[in-house]
Amino acid sequence: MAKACCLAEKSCGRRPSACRCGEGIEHNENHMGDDLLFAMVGNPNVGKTTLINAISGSNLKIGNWPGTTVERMDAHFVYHCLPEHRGDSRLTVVETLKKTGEAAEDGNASESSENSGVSEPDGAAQTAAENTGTGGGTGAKSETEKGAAPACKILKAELLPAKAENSLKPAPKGAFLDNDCPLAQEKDKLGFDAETDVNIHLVDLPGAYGLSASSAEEQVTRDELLTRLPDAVIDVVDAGNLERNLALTIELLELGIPVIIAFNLLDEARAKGMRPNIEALSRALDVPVIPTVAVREEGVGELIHTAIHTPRSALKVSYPEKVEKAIADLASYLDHPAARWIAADALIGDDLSALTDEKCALGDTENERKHTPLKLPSDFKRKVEYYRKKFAEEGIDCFLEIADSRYRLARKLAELGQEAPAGVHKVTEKLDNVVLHPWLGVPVFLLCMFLLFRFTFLFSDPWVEWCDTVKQVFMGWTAAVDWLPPTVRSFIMDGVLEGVGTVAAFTPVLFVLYIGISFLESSGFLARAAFLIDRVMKGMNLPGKAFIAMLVGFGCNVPGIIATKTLDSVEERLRVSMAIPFAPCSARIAVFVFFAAAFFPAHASIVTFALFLTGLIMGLLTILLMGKILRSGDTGSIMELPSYRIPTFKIIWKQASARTVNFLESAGGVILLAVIAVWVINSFPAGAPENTYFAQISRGLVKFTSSFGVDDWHLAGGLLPGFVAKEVVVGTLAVTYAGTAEAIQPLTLGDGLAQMAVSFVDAIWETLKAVPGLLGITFAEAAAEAEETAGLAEIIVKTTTPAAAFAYMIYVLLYMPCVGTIATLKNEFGWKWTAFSCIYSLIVAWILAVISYHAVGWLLAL
Amino acid sequence: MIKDVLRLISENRYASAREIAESLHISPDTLEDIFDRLERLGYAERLGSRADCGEKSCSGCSLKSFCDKKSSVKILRLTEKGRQAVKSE
Repeated sequence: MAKACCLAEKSCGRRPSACRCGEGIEHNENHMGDDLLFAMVGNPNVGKTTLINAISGSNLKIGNWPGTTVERMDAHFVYHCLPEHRGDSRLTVVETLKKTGEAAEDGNASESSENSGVSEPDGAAQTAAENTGTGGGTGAKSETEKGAAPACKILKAELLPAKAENSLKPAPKGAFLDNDCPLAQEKDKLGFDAETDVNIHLVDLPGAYGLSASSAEEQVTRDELLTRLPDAVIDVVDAGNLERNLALTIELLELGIPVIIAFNLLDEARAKGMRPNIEALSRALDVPVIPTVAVREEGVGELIHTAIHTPRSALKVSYPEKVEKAIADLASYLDHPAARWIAADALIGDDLSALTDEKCALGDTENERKHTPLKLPSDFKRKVEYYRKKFAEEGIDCFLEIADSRYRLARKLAELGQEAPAGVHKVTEKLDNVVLHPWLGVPVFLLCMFLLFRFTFLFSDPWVEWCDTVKQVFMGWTAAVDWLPPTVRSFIMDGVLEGVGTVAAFTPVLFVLYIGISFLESSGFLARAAFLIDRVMKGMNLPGKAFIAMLVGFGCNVPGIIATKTLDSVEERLRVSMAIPFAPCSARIAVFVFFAAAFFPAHASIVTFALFLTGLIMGLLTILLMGKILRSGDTGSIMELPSYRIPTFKIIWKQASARTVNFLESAGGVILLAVIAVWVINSFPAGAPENTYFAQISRGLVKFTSSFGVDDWHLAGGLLPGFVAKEVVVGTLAVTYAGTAEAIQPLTLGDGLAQMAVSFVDAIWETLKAVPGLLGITFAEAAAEAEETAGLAEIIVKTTTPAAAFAYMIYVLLYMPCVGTIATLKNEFGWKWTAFSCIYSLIVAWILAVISYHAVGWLLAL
Repeated sequence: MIKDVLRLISENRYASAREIAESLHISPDTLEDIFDRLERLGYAERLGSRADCGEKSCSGCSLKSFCDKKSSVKILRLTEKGRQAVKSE
């Protein structure tokens, strides 16, 4: 109450004797001239910057807080308190200080501005007040510039239109002035409402959710408020997010500084269907609540006017009895308006040393209120230790008790301040109602994954064919170089070009797949998968969050295993790590794409999706099985899901390109070495291809693979280098089948380029035709083309049945982790568990391959 | 309220933060604020979050620089201090 008198006295600037409050004088001793210091505080992203811009216009100075990289914005201006302006939104802002140089310069400028600030802005204000039209601002500016002192140039002097037509409900007048304030009661006698100027220094403090010094921003906010004691705090509150914002408001009220609430973003809140009850909120908080729409400068004048006259709030947080007594006791040792907050913060254990440090005043400049370090008596510190120890012994956690009381009050106030809080849903919540629905969620997720594979096939197929044409052209050019020795030519064509070229043809597949994955990931959808699976897994007493590591494993098993470090115990990590090798990584997807397109051209996406599901189910079953061996308690944890958003094309393109390049870089060397090795052992001893060393080894393997229908030694041999990396399987097949392919015809440079160009145009046309295909609309011509196969695929189709091909894919999906995964498993869990993983996956792969061979054979026979 | 949040996390009844917010009738933003405070004061730890990327879970991933951290799921887990606080309630 008394502080209100001080502010009012300062604002009228004429009758110091009328102030009946000694407390205010003490606070004002460090003031520069008659400046009122207002601090603007609020959560991040509530429109503080827009509001301070609206208030100060071009007066804004931007820099950093001393010793930090936290941005600082402040403004000096004169507020004209004209009688006819009371209670409406008129504001005249005139620059009184515009120096950013040396402190001495600032001081001089301040003096000039103070001298001129009384007279010159008056002229501006008067002119502005007389101008009721829109041209008022311009008129005021030119009028004032004529007579302004050099240091007092008017940068903004405009009369904002009265907001009578404003749809915003004006704040209750009664809330603005405390009727108990003697000065307020006698305001007419004192001439309080007479024309007067108020010098204001407005400081924008960093966005904060609380005042504990747990971040640089919060520390600056806390230190500024407690060591400079502003005359009023303008708390910018997001009207659409009351509860969270009020948690900070409650702490501000505890500081004992007058608080005024700028109820911002009100238009957005109303657009969302919210109905804030400003009067009720103002009454409950016992502070003025001024509706503002910063972008339209609405409510700005009223805000400043009210801030000048606002009293302290009488609202008090009610803590549990023992904590309340301790806070009251500790506060009695302090001579500070924020004694209660400081006592509570000390009990929590917050570090208050920065507040007591004399260095806090080092950043002071002459034209600003000085910092006053906090004085904490030694008795206070001893008592804090005593209470902390006592509460610890009694099992009372001061932070939890204090924070709990504040949050409960914030919720209660938010409920009072909202007439219709229910039924308000963000886009994320609406979408989650479908995506995370107990029954719809899993089918929606599976449908999205199916569409992902369909999208991959439809859009990559034309480019796979183009890559194949490029490979054929290079082989044709190599065949045309007749001076090359036959062995070298064979090495280049059958080894390098055939092997690497076949795998390089996967580039479009992976790129399109990564585009789809990046979209699902960036949109926030993929993160929901972990939540959906959690429901399924919780029913089986499994840790749902384990699926997050599995999701990572779908990209590459190695980071998936490393991601298990997020799990609580070694047992949990092991359970999931044994499952991750079953997650179909990009390398295996590339193999499936080749086989599915060759053997099931009309249903390639369904087959690939079935393989994806098989890997997923096997992973989950493995976690379940491992749970029987490794008992692990699931400690408390929770998932935080990101909001949905529409990813930009740039982000998706960047991610997809980076992942594709990364795959090619990491796989390229391995593939090249593997195909060269296969070419060497497949070329010797010279003679019939069936008698080479590779063929002999592979034929030995056929005895095993024939159990799931694979009788062709080429296919069986492809599994051998697949131990190194799964993507090598197709490259190996290309090398071993090379001898059986039709002879490559030599090509001239022009013919080759022409073939590539024609194929490129075809690919573009086919890609465009794939757009309706994604929606299920296919052309007869396209369907006929889907039945065609070429090159390596054509040869394999002739040697193997579809059932055996499916079983082969199942085996490739599940057998043995690749070398990279084995190395990671060994590093994380040792040889024992690595060996277990290898043996376990070999057994599982064989069993499922046999089952699927017979099952698919039976289905196809129907 | 903050004590209720700690208790619900420890009970493992809910999978997502949104479910806890709904069960306590508080806004998801307030809950996020509570999580932040619990993390800062050592009652809980966030894993797989932006702060961890490059140090813990993502250290072995060659794609970490291209990772879309904003869209990734984060796990908030109680620490020993958090578990003790729940027990003492």
